[in-house]
Amino acid sequence: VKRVAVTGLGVVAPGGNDADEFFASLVAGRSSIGVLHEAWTARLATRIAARAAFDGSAHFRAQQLRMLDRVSQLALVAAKQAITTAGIDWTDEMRARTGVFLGTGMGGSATTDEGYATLYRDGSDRIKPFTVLTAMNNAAAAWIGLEHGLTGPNLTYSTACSSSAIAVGEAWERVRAGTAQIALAGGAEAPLTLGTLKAWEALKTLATEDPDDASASCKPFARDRSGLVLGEGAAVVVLEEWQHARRRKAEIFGEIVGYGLTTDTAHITRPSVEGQARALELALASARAAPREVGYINAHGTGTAANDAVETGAIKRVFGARAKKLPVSSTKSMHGHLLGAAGAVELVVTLLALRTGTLPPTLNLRVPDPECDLDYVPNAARERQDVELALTSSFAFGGTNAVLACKKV
Amino acid sequence: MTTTFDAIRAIIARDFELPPERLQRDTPLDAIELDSLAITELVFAIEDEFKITAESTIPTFKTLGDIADYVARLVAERDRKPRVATTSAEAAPAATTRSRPGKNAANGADDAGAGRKKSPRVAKHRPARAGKSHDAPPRKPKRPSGGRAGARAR
Repeated sequence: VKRVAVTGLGVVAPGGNDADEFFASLVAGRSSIGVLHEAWTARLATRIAARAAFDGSAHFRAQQLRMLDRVSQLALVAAKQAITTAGIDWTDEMRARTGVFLGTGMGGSATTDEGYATLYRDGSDRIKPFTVLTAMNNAAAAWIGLEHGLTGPNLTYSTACSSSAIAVGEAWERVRAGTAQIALAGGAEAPLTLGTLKAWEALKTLATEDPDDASASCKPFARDRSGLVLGEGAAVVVLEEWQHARRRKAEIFGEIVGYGLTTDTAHITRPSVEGQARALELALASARAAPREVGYINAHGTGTAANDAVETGAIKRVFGARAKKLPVSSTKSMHGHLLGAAGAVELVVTLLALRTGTLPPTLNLRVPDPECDLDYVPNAARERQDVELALTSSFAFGGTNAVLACKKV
Repeated sequence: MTTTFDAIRAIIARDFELPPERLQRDTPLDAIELDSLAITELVFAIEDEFKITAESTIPTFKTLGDIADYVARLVAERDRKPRVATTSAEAAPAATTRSRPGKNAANGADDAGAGRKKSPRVAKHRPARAGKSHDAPPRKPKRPSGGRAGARAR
C-alpha cells in the first residue's frame, strides 16, 4: 500500500473563500450563521442558515451559469483552488490516472426547486432545457472532470451528511491501492432553497433562532442546543500518492492515514453509539494507530439532541478514561451543517488544525449538558497544541458512519 | 423590417455572446461551436421568441440558415393551424395549442405576427425582453469568442 499525501486544499464556505481564510475565521470564533433575507424566506419557521459569500457571476460567464447549479459552481471553484494550491502541471498521463470523487446530498436542488416552481406554481410547461443536466447529482463531479480533462474514475457519492467524507475515504482507498495516482476528492452542497429548507423544517431537526443572537443559534454539545443549522459550500482536496508528490516537490499539507466506514441499521435517522464507535475504531485500525495517539477530534457535532449525546458516548467507548482529556470540537457551530459537503470541509479544518497546532473551538457552549461531558474546546480556539494524529467524523441519515484519520506532516 | 434570420441572429448573439457580424446565413454551426446542447438551448429560446413548438426531434442543422428556414416553416404552420381551432383548444393539434408563457408578440419578427394566440401566462424564469427591437444593436458580447457550452471556471 502507498502513503497518501494531501497536496491541495480548496474551500468555498461560510466564513471563507479559501482554506486559510476559512480556517482563520473559525479560529477567531466567528460564526457565519445569520438570518436569510430573501423574500421567500418569509415562509420559513426559522430563517437562519450559513451562506457562503459566493457570487457565481464573478467566476463564470452567463452562458456557463445557465448550465451550472450553484452546487456545481461552488464545487468547480473549490476544485480549481485545490489544483492551484497543489501546483499541478498536468500531463495527459497524469490526467488519465486522476479521479474525481465528490459527495453531495441534495445535488442541484435550486434547479429542481425552480423546475417544480415553473411546472406547478406557474402552471407552465416550459421547463428549462438543461434541467436534467443541471440538477443531476453527478453534475458537479462531471464538470470538474470536464474542466480539467481528468479521465480517470469520476464518481459521486450520496450518503446524506457523510457524502463527502465517504468520497474522500473512497478516493483515499484508490490512491492507497495505486489504482489512482491523484484524486480530487471532496463535496459540495447548496441547499438554501425554499423547497429544501421547508423539507428540513418539516423534519424538526433545525435549530430555533437564538433570541439574542441569531449567529449563536447552533450550540453543539450544549444543554440548550435545539438542532442543526443548514449551510452551503464546497471543499475539495488533492490526494496524491506520496512518492509522486515528493518527486514533483509538491508542498504536503498533511497525510490521510485511515478511514473507518460502518452502517447503522436500527433506524433511518437515530444514530447509535455502537455504529459510531466502530467507525472510529476502524479508522484507527486502518491507520494502525492506538487510541492514545489521537490528539484531536473534529466532531460531527450537529447540535441536535440525539447526535451530540450519542457521539459523546461513542468517543467515550473508544477512548475510555482518556476521552475526557481529548479535545473534541464542532465547527458546525460557526459554518453550519454543509450536509454532503460537511465531511470535506471539516477534513480541511482537521488538516489545518494539525498543521497550525491550533484547535478551532465549539462556539456557543455556555450551558453544559451532563450527557455531553468531554473537552469540547468551548468558545475559544486553543493554540500551540502539538497534535500528531486527528480524526474527523461524519454520521449520516441512512446510517452511514465515516471517520477519516489525518496525520501531521 | 427584420427577418426570421435577423431575430435568430440576435438571440444567438445574446445567449452565446458572439459578435453578430460572425453570424451569417451560411455560417456553419461548427464554426461558432454550437454543439447539440447549444442547439437545444437555442431552440428553446426561439420557441419563446416566435411562439412556436419545435418537433420532438430537432432536425440536424448545418448552418444558421437551416435554422432560420426551419423556424420560418414552423411559424407558417402555426399561423395556418389556429384557424381550425376557433372553438376549442383541444380541437387543435397539441403542438400549436400548448400553453406557453412569454412576452406578447409585439417584438417578434415580421413573419411571426398573425393568428397568434396570446398566452395568459408570463414566463418568470426567463428575463423579459419585451420592447426590444431587432433593429436595435444587439447587446455587446462580453467576450469576443468562446461559445462553447462547456463550463470554464476562471
